Amino acid sequence: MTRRFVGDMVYMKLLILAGGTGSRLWPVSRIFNPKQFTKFKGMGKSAFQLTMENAASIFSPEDIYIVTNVEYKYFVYGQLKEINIDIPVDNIFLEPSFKNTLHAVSMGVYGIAGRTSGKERVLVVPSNSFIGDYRNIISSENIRVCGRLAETSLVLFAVKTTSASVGYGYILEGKNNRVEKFIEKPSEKDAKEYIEAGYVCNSGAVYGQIDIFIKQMEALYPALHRLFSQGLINEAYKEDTHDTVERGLFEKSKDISVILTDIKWTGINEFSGFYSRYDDKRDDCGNIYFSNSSMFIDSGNNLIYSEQNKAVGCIGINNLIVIDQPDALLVCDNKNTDKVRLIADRLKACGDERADVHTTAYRPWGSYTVLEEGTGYKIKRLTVLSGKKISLQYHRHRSEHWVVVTGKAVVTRDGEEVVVPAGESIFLKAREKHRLENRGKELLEVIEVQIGSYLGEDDIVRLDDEYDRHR
Amino acid sequence: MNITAVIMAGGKGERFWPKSRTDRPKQFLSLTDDNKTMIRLTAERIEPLVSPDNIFVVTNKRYKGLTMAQLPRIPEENILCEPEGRNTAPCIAFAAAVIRKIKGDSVMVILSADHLISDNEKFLSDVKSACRIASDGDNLVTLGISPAYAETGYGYINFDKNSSFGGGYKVNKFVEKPNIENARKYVESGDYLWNSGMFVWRTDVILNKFQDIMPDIYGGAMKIAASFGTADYEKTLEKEFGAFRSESIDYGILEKTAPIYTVPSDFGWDDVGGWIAMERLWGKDKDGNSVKGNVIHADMKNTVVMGDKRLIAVLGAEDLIIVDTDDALLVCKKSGAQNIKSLIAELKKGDNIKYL
Repeated sequence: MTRRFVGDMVYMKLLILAGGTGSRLWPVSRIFNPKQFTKFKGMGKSAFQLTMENAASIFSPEDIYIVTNVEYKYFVYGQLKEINIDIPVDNIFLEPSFKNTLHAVSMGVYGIAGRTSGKERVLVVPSNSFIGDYRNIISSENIRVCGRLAETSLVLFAVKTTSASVGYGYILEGKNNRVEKFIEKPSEKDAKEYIEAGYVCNSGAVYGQIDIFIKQMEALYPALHRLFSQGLINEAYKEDTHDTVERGLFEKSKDISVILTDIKWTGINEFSGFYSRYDDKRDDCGNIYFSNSSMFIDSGNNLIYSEQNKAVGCIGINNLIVIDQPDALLVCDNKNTDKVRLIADRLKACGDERADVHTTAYRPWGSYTVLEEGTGYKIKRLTVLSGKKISLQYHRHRSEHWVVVTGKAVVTRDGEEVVVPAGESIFLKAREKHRLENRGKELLEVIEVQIGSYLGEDDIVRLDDEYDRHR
Repeated sequence: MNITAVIMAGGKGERFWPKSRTDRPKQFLSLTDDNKTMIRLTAERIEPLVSPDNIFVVTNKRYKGLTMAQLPRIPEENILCEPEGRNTAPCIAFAAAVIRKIKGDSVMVILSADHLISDNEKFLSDVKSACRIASDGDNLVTLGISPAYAETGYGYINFDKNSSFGGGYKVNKFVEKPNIENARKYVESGDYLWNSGMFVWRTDVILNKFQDIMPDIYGGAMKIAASFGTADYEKTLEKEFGAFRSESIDYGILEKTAPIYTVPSDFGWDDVGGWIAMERLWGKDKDGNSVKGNVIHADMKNTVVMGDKRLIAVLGAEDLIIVDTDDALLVCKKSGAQNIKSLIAELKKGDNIKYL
């Protein structure tokens, strides 16, 4: 593949942050199914995929780097494959645990530094906002200014804003593009004052030279700097700080610049972001709905999001956000969306797994959805992608009955292969070694009925696995 | 005289959408009790006084199976099926005529299948008083509820405190749902009771009233009763009942006749008329919220949430009603609760029959 040069950005790298947990978009986003990989209804692709397509239209794959959590490895691989973008595996950095963006950016920047001269410039972008098009950010005019600023500082990209949102950072620009003040996520009242005082809003993208970033890290976080530069990633992730790069670096460092851009930028960090992104979908009363059957009586300016075939009746309600998921429902005033995180936190604190997982879980071979659960039984829908197979496994405490709905299953049962076409079924006793495989072109869909005294996901003994999960 | 009970169970319970559906309306739900349906609670409440073979249920024919499943002790022939709802007057005439035919003239205690009564002892004692007054002569008796507060959603009964008669009092007049000022005045005066819609009278007495005041309905009811137990019953019922006009017993008979007595009662009655009633049933927390199910919330005030298995998270809500079911969800401002009927009309228009 020929390497694409963009203007004078010969050395420019793109670093995409894709390791966030997206707890402000609960219950659509869960820790193990976070927002950047969520295919929101009416969108078709995930924010990560849209970001990657955008990136790949400008950058050559070997100049694109991704930082994500190790838990999201298969999301990244799988979703890249879906859009036919081939990023070198070495360019995908896997964070060993959940930290924040100060760690994520460091992981990427130090990782790139290890392979290059250190004079490379890197554009860091989140994958969970929809930054219209990077071409706007790196327009030749911007890049000329950036190039000069980046010789001594990190460069932020800001947009003018009129609405006071508490979810973003606010920047006061001083002389020569210098950041005079950076305030991350102020209160709504303060945000209003900042806007009136001429502050601009941080877009979440940052541009800088690798060695300058590292110099700033060294000054502020000597311990982290030492660990990252020695490649001691696990140790670096054991360090106490949970800061965002905004709080940890941009607020503290003196050498930050800003340029004002007119990028079309919608951060879907919160549900309120849907309003601007889907402005064209509003009905006469300002309601936006992604739902098969929504009815509004005397109701306006609501956002209704339901992935199920659910009737949603709204009477006399205004400015509400209703997010309907198979196992959880959120009803929220649209001024309160920044607090959604608190709900996810609270669930987590009391050990409720609905903070972390959906009824649908994604696996490298496809996905499964828990349809119904009761004492002694659990019913799941398994979807196996073409050419994929689940691990060879057995369960100690449960039997399974597989009914093939679509596609053709190749089932290995105690060493013997059985072909099960749509409409037929197969029974797997407890302790019987089994594997499900889709050798066909179409999707394989199977209804699984589990019967047993214990039905936890951890009752699984993997004997062989394409994805090395049996080790 | 033999005492019978008639449980009126033909309502559609639309105000409880989406919990209440056409195929399983309010009276067949456990809204007031964790385990038992409202119709079952109603039957069990009267059973110490009336044996199951003297309990009759009038309901829509589509609910016969549900009724039999809920009330297995009641004989199948006691479940009287209306082809269509025609309000309370035809329902009561039908029941009175059939009871007279198979049980002979009896006292009938008429109850609603979807009301809440919290003190069963007091209830039975008041019903007994009413039965005594009713069996004594041509008296129509209604159970009037001592008003606990100024409710504008109920009709009121104005009674004469100086006309004590065997535990009851003479009714001066019935009053339609008042505005709040009048409701307050009524409650303060002590001369008014809530009209509960529960009545006690003899079959022969009420049938005579029908013959005088609503002769068309009387005629039809007699024809239905005459065919009861014969091969023609279904056909006659279809034809005669279908021809009835829709009318309430209050407007059709009670407001046009005398004497009517009321037994002032105080047994924790509520008509459970809509989701807002849940505030009275469940009580409110310090922020005015009434919550059932798996719910977490912050900044929520004066809100009713009825959940199910699913987790419901509410952030920043005031004066809302949120009701969640497997396939339908209602989010409603309290002041708009009466519009649930419009919502149902809207559902009927679209391709949404399954949610009705």
